[in-house]
Amino acid sequence: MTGNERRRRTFGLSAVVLGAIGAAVGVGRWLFDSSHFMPHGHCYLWKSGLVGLHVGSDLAIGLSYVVISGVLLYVVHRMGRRVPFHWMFLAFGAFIVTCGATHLMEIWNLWHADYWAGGLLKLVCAGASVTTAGVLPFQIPRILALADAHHLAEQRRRELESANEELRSFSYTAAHDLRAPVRKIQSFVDLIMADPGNTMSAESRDYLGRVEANARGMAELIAALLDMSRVQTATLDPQEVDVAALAREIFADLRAEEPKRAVELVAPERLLLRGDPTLLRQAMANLLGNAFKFTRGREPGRIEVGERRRDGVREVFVRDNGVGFPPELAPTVFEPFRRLHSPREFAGHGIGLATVQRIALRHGGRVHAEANEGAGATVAFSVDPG
Amino acid sequence: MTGAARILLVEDDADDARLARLAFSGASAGCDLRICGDAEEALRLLESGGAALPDLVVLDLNLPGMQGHELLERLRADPRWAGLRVAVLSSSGEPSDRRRAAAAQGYFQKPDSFSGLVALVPLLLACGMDGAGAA
Repeated sequence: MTGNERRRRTFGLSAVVLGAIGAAVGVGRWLFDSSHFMPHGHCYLWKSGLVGLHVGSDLAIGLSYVVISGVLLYVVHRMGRRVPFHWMFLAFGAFIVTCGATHLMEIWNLWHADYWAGGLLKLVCAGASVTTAGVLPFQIPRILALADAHHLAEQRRRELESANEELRSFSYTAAHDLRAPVRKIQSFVDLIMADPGNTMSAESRDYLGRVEANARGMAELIAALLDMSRVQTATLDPQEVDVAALAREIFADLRAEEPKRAVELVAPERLLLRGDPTLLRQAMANLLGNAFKFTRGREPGRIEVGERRRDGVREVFVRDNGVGFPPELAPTVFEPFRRLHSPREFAGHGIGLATVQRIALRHGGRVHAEANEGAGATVAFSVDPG
Repeated sequence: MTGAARILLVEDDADDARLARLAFSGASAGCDLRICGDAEEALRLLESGGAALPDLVVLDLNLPGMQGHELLERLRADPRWAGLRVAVLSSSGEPSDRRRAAAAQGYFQKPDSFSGLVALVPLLLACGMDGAGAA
């Protein structure tokens, strides 16, 4: 483009803008031309009481309308698309704000007589009012449906809450009441075994041993169930918890039970998580207990505790080089009572990982399990949505 | 406390009461064990007993009618039983149950085996000794 062309274009554009401004000023002059009219105050004979009454009332109405529309605008802004019929809220806001403006114009015209401008404002207000009035009746079914849906959702929420509460108290009571008979079976078997006067055959003694072993298994299962139900009912007390230090403590306890096994723990100096100390300890105890158990017979065992990011969420993981599991079973390992190994190989009741999952969920986090390439398993959990 | 310790066991479960009787009978210093099946019976016995208060009340929490916690609160609220020592022996290990029984000299969870219960007897008896503070 040559310099001449550019100058011509600039000149053309300036002419258009100037023309538009001129037209706007012309319309404005006409709108605010009050030379032929008397200010409205004359109609009130400038009686101060009457003028004051109109000014006060119009001012109150006008300002209230501004506030109301401001509130509506704020609600839509804060809730975004979640507010139902948000466009209707906006139409309502427009209707109310133009109504307010007509009242403020009334005050202005007591002294200025800009009746054309005032009338035009009323026309705009009429447009907004008619639109709202025309649209609103067609929305009645939707509004009623929304109210019904809200009522239904509230009812469902209450039902769910009470069902949850019942379930909690059921699992707690069941676990407690189941414990008592098992404890007594064990105690009386104890007494029979210890009775020097009994003349039991070797076979009967073996059977009694089996009764005892089964009662013990049941007691452990109930204790694990009780732990799981406690996770649901516990009040969370979130704090900064060093799960690496927890892992070392738990690992030391596990080692003390089987000192002959060759297993090492690899963990960072510090690994801070924000969560309930009791529940996080339980989660780590279950994960390390599993890792310790499943590395049996695959020594030297190696258990690694660390942190990683998966889909942008920070997770703590426990990895082992133990027996592992088939990759296709990864989604099922967190189901309660789901066991991937025979009790002959590895003892357990299949509640440990289900409990870890509940602990993660209660903290707003999630769990993940994967079979490692080669051998072993990695189980990870997070304590916040990230 | 000299000679056989006088112990009042409040326990509604007949099996548990029998196990406790067996376990306490093995105590070296001997025990004079009385068993009440519920809290009301224990209260009546204490009220009628006058001077011969037991050295220790061993209290189950889950009882028919008045609960163990409530009996403990009543005992602690009444000056007549100001010096009475109480040890809780419950199947519950819940922290909330432990907290509510803080006014007792001891809190023990019922062991899973008879040998566990026998091992617990000296600890229970210690709650009845002078110098055992409120746990």
